Amino acid sequence: MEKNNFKIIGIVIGVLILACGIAVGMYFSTREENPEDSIIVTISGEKKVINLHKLSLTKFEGSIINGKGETIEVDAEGVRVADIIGTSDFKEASVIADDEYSATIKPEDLKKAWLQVEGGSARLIVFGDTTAKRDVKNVVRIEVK
Amino acid sequence: MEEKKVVLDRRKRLALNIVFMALCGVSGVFIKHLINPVSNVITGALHIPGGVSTAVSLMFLVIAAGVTKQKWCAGTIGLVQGFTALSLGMVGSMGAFLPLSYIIPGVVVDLVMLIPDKGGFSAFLKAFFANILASLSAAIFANFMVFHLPGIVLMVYLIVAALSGAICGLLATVIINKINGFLEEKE
Repeated sequence: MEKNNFKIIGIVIGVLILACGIAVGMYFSTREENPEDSIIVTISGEKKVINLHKLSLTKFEGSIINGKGETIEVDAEGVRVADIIGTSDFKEASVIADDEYSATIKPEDLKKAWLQVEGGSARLIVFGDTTAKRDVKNVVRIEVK
Repeated sequence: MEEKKVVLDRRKRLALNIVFMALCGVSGVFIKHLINPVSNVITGALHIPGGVSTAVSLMFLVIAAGVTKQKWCAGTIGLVQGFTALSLGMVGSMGAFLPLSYIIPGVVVDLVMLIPDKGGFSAFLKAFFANILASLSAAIFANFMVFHLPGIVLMVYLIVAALSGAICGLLATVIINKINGFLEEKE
């Protein structure tokens, strides 16, 4: 009986490993890689590659809530998301991380939304949020709709 | 060598069950935080936002349900974990919905464990599948509430969650068998 159980478990794990391999292969073959240290901004279907080292950074500070519910003081360098997007005439913008985690920015958020730039990677900071939902680390794409 | 069995009467067994449930609840949260850096390496390499450490945390709910054999045991632990996390302000990205991310997988574990031991579906297999389904339910809920992943990424995320649930489920069944092997209840 126990032998049979282990057999079933082995088959299920084997099938899942196979499915995982196929799914990861499909995902990686369709995945768009960014040029190093850059983000891709898509505005109405038009793509623009922005090199993070070429941005003129501004110092900004404020407080945000982290995943543990603690208030964290931010004193960093970066650019306003408004300056990256370049327009306030949009419905919403998706800020997407390397692991596909994403957050939505509305035009009314532009005044409080920053991209913290550090060592070739960007992080979305939205001041005034009560949760860490829009704390997007390692931003690679911004899609403006 | 013959293994010694610990024989407990009903009252002692109930007390042990409560202590064991509390222990599993604490261990689940603690171990999840402990292995987060390792699981982040795996999920980072796969470019998905999570799906590994939750299965390890849920393994403790399955172990608790398998050892105590109490109805709604995992759901109760999930409830306590969820509201404890909320009261400590660990709101994460889910805000007030955080307790549901603990309760839903717990209830899924309980529902699988409630299936009668008939035919080939033994307690051993129930614990294994309970971990897979709980892990999947947690992943689906997190995607619904926070991640909103697109098609292919969602597929990878769910399969990774199911696979880690399966591996932890296997571990859970072995641990449950070991513990139940030396615990005996006096009628």
